[in-house]
Amino acid sequence: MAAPATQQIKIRCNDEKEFTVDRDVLERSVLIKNMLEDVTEQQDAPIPLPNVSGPVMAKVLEYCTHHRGEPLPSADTEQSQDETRKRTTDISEWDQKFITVDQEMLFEIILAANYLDIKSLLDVGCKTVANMIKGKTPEEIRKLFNIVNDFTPEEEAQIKKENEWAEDR
Amino acid sequence: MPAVLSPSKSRTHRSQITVKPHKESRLLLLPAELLSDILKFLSWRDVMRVRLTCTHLRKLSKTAWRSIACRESRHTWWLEQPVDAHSEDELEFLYLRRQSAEIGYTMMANGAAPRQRTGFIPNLSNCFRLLPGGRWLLTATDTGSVLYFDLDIPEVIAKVLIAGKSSRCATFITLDLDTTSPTLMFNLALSKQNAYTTMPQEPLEVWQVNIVTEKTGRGINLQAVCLKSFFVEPPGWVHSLSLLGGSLAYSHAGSDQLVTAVVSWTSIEAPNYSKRIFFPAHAECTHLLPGDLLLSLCEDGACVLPLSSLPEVKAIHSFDDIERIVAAPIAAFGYPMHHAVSNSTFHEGSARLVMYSDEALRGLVVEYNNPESKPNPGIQVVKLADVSEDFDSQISVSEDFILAWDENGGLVLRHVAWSDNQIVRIASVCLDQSVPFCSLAEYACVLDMTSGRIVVQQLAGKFTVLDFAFLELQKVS
Repeated sequence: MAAPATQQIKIRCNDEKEFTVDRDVLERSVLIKNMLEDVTEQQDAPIPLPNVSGPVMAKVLEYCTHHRGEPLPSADTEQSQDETRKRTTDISEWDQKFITVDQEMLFEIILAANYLDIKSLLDVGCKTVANMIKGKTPEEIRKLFNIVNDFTPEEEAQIKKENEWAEDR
Repeated sequence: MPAVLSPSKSRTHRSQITVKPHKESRLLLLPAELLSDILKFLSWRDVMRVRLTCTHLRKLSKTAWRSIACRESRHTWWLEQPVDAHSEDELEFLYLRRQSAEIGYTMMANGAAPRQRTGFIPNLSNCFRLLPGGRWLLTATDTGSVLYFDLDIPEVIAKVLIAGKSSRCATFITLDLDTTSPTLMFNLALSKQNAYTTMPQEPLEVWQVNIVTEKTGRGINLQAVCLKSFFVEPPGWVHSLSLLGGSLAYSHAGSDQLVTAVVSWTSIEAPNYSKRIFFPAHAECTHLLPGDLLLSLCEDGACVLPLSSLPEVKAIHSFDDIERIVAAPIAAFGYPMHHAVSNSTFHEGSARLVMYSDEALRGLVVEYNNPESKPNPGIQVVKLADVSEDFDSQISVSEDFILAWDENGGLVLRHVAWSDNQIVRIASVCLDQSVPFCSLAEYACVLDMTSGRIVVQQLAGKFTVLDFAFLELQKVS
């Protein structure tokens, strides 16, 4: 009998792209981990992942492979980790390099990490977006993310007035 | 199926061609929950810029304040209710007001005038208390009543918290905030003394005060119930009151003697109740500290004593029966005058208060967690500012800010550091240009930095509320 660590699992993405991956790598995803725990019999059919495309999954698997073996955040530690987690936007060097992708891919990774329930990857994605926002003016943020200013002139003037005391101080 | 035709692939392709005005914003397409997750990593200044980008992010930015409130101590903001009971609009307002108070302080130092309102007290009063959070102003009047004002609404209207039927009383209150209660709750000790009647005076009272909420859950009023009422023993004039948990300390005088008694007020049922006595030379000012400690400012300096070290007595019929206790002061300074000691504030195991003594404004930092360590690093006295004379007037402390009368007769708000005699006076704001205050120094002033609010008492029952949060930029001409 093969040890669980070497067990190979097949997954199929929404573009029919299939991957065969070591079980412990896939188990970085709490969604898949729970799925696998619910299945008792050996199954040959690939696990369908209708919300993730092949190119995004390839990227996610790259992350999971690098971080394989690291402890998953348990429900107990989550509360206390939340405190420190939210304070810092530091990203490790490898993760930083990994997440240096175009905006389209960045948001796809965030959505995939959310769907697959990979908290650490979701954090890396969210921190990256937060870092893109940091220190920018509203106009720069709009430009960066193609946001249309849909305030009426009155609304915008009102919020500007509310913000006035905090400007450059 | 060829991967290149997959929807995801083609979207990637599109984004690389990019920058057309009608291109969708991938950021805004994220579910609200994920957008909130992103906002959690931003500083409040960044959140303020985000809320100026579009209506969707304006709405979502409000969720950031709740997550900030959840990760900070509730007492950083002095929320009146559990975080979840406050609306996002309220949390946004409270958080930004707090941030803007410190900025407003700098603006005042640069000449901006705080917003002003005036209130009136129907009876004479010389005791003001501003609850942390800055919303509730309490004042004790000469009828023995305690009135309160909701300063978060525009109109400054007096409401009765505790009715009084006396007249010409010197009424004094001290508060003990219950920081473990999920909603705003505090105990209040009240002493009423009539200068025109002989002893015995009216009893001391301890009241519990709660917030009254409307259907939406928002607090609208305060209400009080009397928990205990008892006479000081032996009868005497109360000079100082301190309430903390189940302990109440009062310093009272008969003829020339000034004695401090500490009682477990909850268990007092009848006269000749049990009390612990501290009787050094002239202990006018007492503060109870966490850990069952008593801080006493007496003629020789400051003493910190465990309550258990004080002798316990029951019946005392006269001040002459009390044996004097010679306490070795662990910090010496000029004896502060009657009113010239501030409220105490607590910060990481130390209590801080400020007093006038030896022609200086001095800060007292009492580390109550290690009162027995030798050679008494438990109390540190730091000089905050020189003054030409020792005032007998109220001083108010909030966080690292103190509000006190200065030698030129004006009220000065100072930002101070508390350690190692390294007092940094970053800036000072003299309020006498903006407030037509009464220069008589016995008048009360209170400060709360959470809300950026100051209340200054003036003549004839009048007082001024100054708000320096959300000050707008001065237009440079």
